Amino acid sequence: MASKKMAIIATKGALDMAYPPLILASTAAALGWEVQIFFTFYGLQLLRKDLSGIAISPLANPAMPMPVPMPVIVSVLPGMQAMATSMMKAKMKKKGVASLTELRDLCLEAEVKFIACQMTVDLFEFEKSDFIEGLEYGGAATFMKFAGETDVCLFI
Amino acid sequence: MGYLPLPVAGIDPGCVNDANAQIEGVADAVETNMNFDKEFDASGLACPLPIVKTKKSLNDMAPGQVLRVVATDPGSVCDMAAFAEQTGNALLESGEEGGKYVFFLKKA
Repeated sequence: MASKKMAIIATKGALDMAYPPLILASTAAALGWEVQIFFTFYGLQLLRKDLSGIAISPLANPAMPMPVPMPVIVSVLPGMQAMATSMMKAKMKKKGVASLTELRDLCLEAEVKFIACQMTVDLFEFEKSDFIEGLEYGGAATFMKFAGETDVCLFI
Repeated sequence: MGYLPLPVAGIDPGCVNDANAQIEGVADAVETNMNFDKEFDASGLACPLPIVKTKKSLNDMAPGQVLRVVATDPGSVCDMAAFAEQTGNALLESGEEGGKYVFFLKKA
């Protein structure tokens, strides 16, 4: 039986939105699926060698559970994003949620193919040396070639 | 008493889509002290690590060998059944022991 295939377009670089592509990709790979992730716009942040800068902001994020009610005017204050990020990371660690780096390593180990969108790499003036090894670089047509053969195709 | 099959233990995992797989897995759960060739302790790990690392544990095993997995993530009950169904690795038994979930997978 030919393996199933999944393609994901990862467009977000915030801590909460960084997880779904990597969780789904690593799981599908564990199920024997062939998986590709196309990283574009802010999703490119997930390809950086060092992921410690990936953050989450309570600003414009009214659904984010906070320990105390947080008026928007407080969320704007300097340091609030850093505080929210470190609190979220601490909570994740406590609950046994993998780090982004660990999930990404599991994806690569399971031969999930990572494609960096060439146009947005150029747009944001990234250097290939900013990113981890083993990436492919391509455009929409590259993605569509694989996406057209998939069973599941997601835009995240 | 060893591993209680889940329905007996009063747990309805309420798995979406693969309730049958879960029931089939439990229906085979007659043995309570099953032999196994390898063990993977996923205690404390959250989704998707119990599944992804179970797959890694199976990688270096031979077909027919049995992997015992221990997990604390309640989501792993449904996920392990779904994993077994999709990969062909048989879920010989699943149950609860000492507040943890225990699974026996036979490598395809």
